[in-house]
Amino acid sequence: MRKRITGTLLVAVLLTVWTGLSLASGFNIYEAGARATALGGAFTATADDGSAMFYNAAGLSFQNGPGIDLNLMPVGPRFEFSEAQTPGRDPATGTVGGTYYMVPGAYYTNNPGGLVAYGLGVYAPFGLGVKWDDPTTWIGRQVSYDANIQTVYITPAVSFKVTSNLALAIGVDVATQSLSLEKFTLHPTLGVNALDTEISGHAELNITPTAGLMYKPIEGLSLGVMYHHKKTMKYRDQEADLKNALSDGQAGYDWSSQLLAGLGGSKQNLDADFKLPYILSFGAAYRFTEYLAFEFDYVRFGWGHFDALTMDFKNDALDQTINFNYENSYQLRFGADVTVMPEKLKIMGGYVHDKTPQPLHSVSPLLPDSDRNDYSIGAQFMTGKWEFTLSYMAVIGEARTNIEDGRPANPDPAYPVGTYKSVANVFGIGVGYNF
Amino acid sequence: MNTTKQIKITLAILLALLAAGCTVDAPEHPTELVAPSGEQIFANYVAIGNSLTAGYMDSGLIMNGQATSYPRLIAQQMGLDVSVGDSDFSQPYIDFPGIGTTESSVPGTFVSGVLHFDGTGISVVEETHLNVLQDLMLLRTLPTPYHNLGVPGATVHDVMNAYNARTSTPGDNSYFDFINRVTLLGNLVDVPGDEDPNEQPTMFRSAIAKGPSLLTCWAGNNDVLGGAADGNPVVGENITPPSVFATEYQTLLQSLAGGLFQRTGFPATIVTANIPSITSVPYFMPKAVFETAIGGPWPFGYEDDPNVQMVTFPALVWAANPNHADQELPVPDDLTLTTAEVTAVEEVIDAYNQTIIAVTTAVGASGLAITDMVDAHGLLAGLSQAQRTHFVFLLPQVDYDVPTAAAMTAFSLDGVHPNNHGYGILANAFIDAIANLTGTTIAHVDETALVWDPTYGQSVPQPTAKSMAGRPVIDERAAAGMSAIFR
Repeated sequence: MRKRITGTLLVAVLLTVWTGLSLASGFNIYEAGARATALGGAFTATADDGSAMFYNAAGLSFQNGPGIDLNLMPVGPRFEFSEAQTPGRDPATGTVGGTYYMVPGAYYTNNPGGLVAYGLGVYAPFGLGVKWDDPTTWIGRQVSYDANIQTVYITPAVSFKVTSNLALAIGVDVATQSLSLEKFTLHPTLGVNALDTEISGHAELNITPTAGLMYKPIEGLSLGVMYHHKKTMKYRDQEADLKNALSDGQAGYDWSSQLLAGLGGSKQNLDADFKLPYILSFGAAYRFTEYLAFEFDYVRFGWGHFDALTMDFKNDALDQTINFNYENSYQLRFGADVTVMPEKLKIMGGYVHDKTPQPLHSVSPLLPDSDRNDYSIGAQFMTGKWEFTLSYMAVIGEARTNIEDGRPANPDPAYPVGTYKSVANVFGIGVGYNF
Repeated sequence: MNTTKQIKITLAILLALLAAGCTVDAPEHPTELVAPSGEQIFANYVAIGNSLTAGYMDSGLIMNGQATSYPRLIAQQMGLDVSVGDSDFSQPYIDFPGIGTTESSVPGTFVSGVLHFDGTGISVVEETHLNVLQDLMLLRTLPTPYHNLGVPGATVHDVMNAYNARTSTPGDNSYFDFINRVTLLGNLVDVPGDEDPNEQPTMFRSAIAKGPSLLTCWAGNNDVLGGAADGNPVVGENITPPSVFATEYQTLLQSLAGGLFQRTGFPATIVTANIPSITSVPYFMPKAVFETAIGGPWPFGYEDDPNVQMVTFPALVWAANPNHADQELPVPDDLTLTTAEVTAVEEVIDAYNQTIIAVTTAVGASGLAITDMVDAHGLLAGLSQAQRTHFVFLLPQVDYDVPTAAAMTAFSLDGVHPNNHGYGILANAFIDAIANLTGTTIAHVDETALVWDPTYGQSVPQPTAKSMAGRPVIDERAAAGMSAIFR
C-alpha cells in the first residue's frame, strides 16, 4: 500500500503543470499547501502537515507517523493596464487573464517517534506567468508579452527533537528552474513588429541549505523560525530564438532580415544568472481553546539579491541587462484556525499584507508588482486517516502608476507608462493520508 | 445543527467563492504625466538639416568634421553620451579620407576624400575604391536612424521627401544613401518609384520615429546657395522661389511639430536657424579680394563686365591656368556674380529668412512646439574679418605658419562650411537658444580648443612665399568639388 501511495505521489508531481506566477511580492509563491493557504500562509509556528517541508521542517518533530500530503492550487491571475493620458492620441490598455496555472505541493513525511523525523517535499516557491492578451498589439510588447518562470524546490530535510518542546531541522533546497521571455522588436521607422524574440532555458541544479526551528515553551504556544537560503540560478549556453516577424514583401522585412544576418542568424546562445532571495520567517501561534488558534508570522524576503538579470550572449551585440534593483521586503501574515468538530471539520481564515520589493522604475510588463492584501478562507474535512482541504485566497494588488514627479519612472520609451492593477484567485485542494 | 449539515454549508460557501472569485476593474487612465522640462528635454535630441548639420568640412563628410558638428557639440554640452557607436547621440561617422564631392581620378571606380592643404595648395587628400567604400562608414549597420540626420546637399523639399539618391532634388545625391539607408530602414519595392513614401526613412519620418524632445532644424541653405555658386542664379531654375520655399518650410515645420506632438504627447522644443548671406562666406570673394589674390586685375576682364561684384573661389584655379591667359579669355560668368545677381540672391535669402522666423514663431504660438530661431545670418555676418577669410589668404599674413592660420579662420578649405572652430561658434549660438527655451544653463563649447588641421595629419612641405608662388594654388579637381555639393 505504501509503495502504491508513494508511486501516486511521484506521478502527481510529474503530471502537475507547475507553471508559476507571481502571487506574493516579487515573484514569490508562498502558497505551498491548501491548509497553509487558508491560514493566510501563517504556518511557520504551526507546520502540522506535509507542507512543513516548506513552512518549517521542524514541525515534523511534532507530527505523528508517516504521511503524504498532495496539494494542487489552481491560480487565476489578472492584470489590467491603462496607459497614461497623452494629448496626441488615445491611451492604450492591456490585460492578462483567463489562464489558470497549477501550483503543486507534494510531500512525504515520517516521524517514527524517536529523535529524528524526516521528509521530502516538492513545491514551487517562485514563479512568474504574465502573458498579455493580444501580444502583437500590446503596448508593452517591446519589453515582454509573455514571461514565464518556473522554479521547483525539492527539499529533503530531517528534524531533530532536541527536547520534548524544541525541534531543529536542517535540509537542502535542490532547485530547478526554467525561464522563457518573449518580446517583439519594432522596426525603427515603420513601427511594425519586426523581430520576435524568445529567450528560454533551463538552469543548472542549485543546492542551498534550509533550516527550521520550532519551540513550544508553554502549553498552547508555539514559536517557529524558517529559513531558505538565497540562490543564484545559473543558465549556461541557453538558447535565444530571434524570428523575423515579417514576411518577404512586407514593409520592414529587409531591415529585420539584414539585422538577423548581421547578428549571425536566428539562433543565439547566452549565459545568464537569475537570483532568488532568501526567505526568513518568524511565527508565533497560540491555541486559546481546544477550538480556536491564531498565528502571526513576519516573513522577510532578501529581494535585495535580485538586482539585475544580465544576459551575456555569445554575440556581444546582443548583451543586455534588465535592472530590477529590488529591495528587501516583508509580509505580515495572520491566520485563524477554528475547530468546528474535533476530528471532523476545521475552518480557517487568514489575512496577508505583502510589501512589494519592486521600485517604481522596475514596474513593467514583465512583472507589474505592487503592495498586496490577501484574504483567505478554507475548510478541512477529516475522516479516518484521510484529510481533505479546500481553500480560497483573494490576492488583491494595489493599483500602481509608474509615474514619478510627472515623468515616467523608467525613461526607456519601450516601457509603457500608466497604471497597473492586479488580482488573483487562488484555489487550493489538498489531500492528506496518514498511515 | 448536525455534522452533515455543517459540512454542506461549509462546502457551499467555498463553492460559491470558487464560482465567483475576485475580479479587477480596468484602472483609470492616469493623467499625472507632465511635459519634460528643463534638462529632461535634453534626453532625446535629434538634428535635421543639410551639410552644415552633418558637420561637413573641407568639401566632404569625414570624422574630423563630424566630431565637431554643431549637433554633436550641443549633445556633448548637454551631457549626452556622444561616443562613436549606439550612443545617446549617433552620427553617420565616415573614416579617413572621408567622402567628398570632388569627382575622382577614375569616376565610377574611386570616390574622392576631402580636400586638404598639401603644403603648396589645396588638393584631394586621398581616394577610396568603391569596393571598400562601405568600410569607411563606421556605423552603417546601426539598426536605428542616426540622431544627426543632416544630409549634405539637402533642400527643404528633400528633408520632407528624399530617402535615397534617386529621390533627392538633383536625383543623384548619394549622401542620402549613406545616411538615410533606405535599404536597411525603409521598404523599397521592385519597381523604383512605386514605393509608398510613408514607408521610407525620409529625414522627416526618421526624426518623428525617434520621438525627440529636442530638435534642431537648419534647412534652406541649399535652396539658394546652389544658384549662387553656379554664378548664374535664376529663381525658379537653380533657386527655389521664395513662395515655394515658404510653402515647403511651413509644411516641414508644422509637420514636425504636429508629428512629434502626436508621437510623444507633448510639445517638442524645436530650434531653427536662418540662412546666412553669401557675403559672409569666403567662397564668394569680393572682386577686389580675387584681384589681390592673383596679383592684380585680370588683364582680360570679365564676361559680365563691368558689373561683377563677386568672384567664386574656383576662379582662382581658372586664373592659374596659363592657357586662359594665353588665349586672353575673360573670367567666365559662371565664376562671377554681378551686382544684380548678388542683390537677387540676397533678396531671396531675406525672403527665406522672413519665412523662417515667421513660421518658427507661428508654430511656437500654435502650442504644438516650443520654438526659437538662431540668427545664423547675423552670427556669420558678425564674425571678424580674419574668421571670414580663407585659410590660404591668411597664410601669407602669418609667415606661412599653418597652425596659426588654421586657428584664425572659422571656415574650412571649401570656403563655405565651417571648420572645427567655426562649428564651435555655431554650436554656442544653438546652445544659447536651447538654454533660453528650456530655462537651463548649458556650458558653452570652448571653441578655441577645437583645432582644425587642414593637412589632415599628412606630412606636407613647409609652405613658403616661394613655394606658393605668391598666390594660392588650387587643384582643379579640388576647385570643382568645392561647389559641387550645392548642385
